[in-house]
Amino acid sequence: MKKGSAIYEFLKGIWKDNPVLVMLLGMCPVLAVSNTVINGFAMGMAVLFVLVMSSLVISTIKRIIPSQVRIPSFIIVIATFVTIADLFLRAQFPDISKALGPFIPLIIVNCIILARQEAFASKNNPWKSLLDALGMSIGFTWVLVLLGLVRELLGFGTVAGFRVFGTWFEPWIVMILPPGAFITLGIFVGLQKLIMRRTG
Amino acid sequence: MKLALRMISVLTGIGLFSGGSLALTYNATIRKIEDNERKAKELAAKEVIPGATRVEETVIDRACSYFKGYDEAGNLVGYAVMNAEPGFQGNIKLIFGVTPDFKRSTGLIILDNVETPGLGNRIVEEPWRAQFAGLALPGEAVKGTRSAENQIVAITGATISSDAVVRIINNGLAKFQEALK
Repeated sequence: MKKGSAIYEFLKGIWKDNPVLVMLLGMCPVLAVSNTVINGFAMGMAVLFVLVMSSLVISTIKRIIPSQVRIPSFIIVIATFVTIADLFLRAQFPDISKALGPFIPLIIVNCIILARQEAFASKNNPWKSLLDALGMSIGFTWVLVLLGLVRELLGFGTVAGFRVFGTWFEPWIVMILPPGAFITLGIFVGLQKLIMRRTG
Repeated sequence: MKLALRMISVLTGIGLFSGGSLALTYNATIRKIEDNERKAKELAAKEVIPGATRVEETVIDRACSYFKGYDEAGNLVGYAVMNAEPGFQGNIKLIFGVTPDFKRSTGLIILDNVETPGLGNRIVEEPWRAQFAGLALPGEAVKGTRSAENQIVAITGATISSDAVVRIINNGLAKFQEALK
């Protein structure tokens, strides 16, 4: 995999430069909505939509934006797509929208998205920006879903709402509370580092 | 000067584009969103008024409104009151059924809450909520065992949330009776 090649730009966000495990960006939604598998997945999809659309728009219009106003321009573009995603979820999936609460509108200030605009989309062409955005949001989503899986299993005894453990299981309430998110995330970050070191 | 003009025109352009696309999305979704909210409320109201197949909402204030429940034949079978007030960590929004003589509650559904999961959050659980069906009003939360018709047993470790639910119901009932006068 050559640095700068299309496949590299896509894959880097999934593992090597994973936004959650390596860059530790966007911690607020990661900690808050990874309490169940469904919430984690829905959040990941919302971020995917916003990141892909914003990266496409920004990389297309990057030449006409004066650098002095680039941040406000990025924020307006991001906010537009976040609001569209929020309205869509409220119309089509009211239950998910309710469960995610304020965290959908808060994608506007999610640093993963702004960071990708500043560090990548404003310097690369739309094709590479699309691959970068897809890779980063898939990287974000799989970590959220896996976190949700562990926390939901131990905190509720269910997976995606289906009961896995019988009535003998005493739920670990700490897992659905913020400390559970920190503990699980810490273990994940450590594991990722360990595997990276082993595989070089 | 040239740069200032360019900054202004680019930001204006992006703003116009953003506003336009949001207006379109809003128009396309708002009806569905309001529909969803109304359906969720009406479904809850029908559930707490036994025998109701049709409900009519009357708004009292920003946090509180009541529903009249009718059966198939169009007879009034009961009321439901929706009220929201602070609980332990944030607002608890709930809806409860009231008999036509205002003396008893006929059921309770918690619509929104941000109480502690595993403790205060247990107010949404069925066995606890079941205490509100047939409860004499105004209610009272007690520890241990119930000794009067208007008492419910508070959740162990979540007295504040349990008290809050009862308080929200009592205040909602008062507002509702005031509004009916």
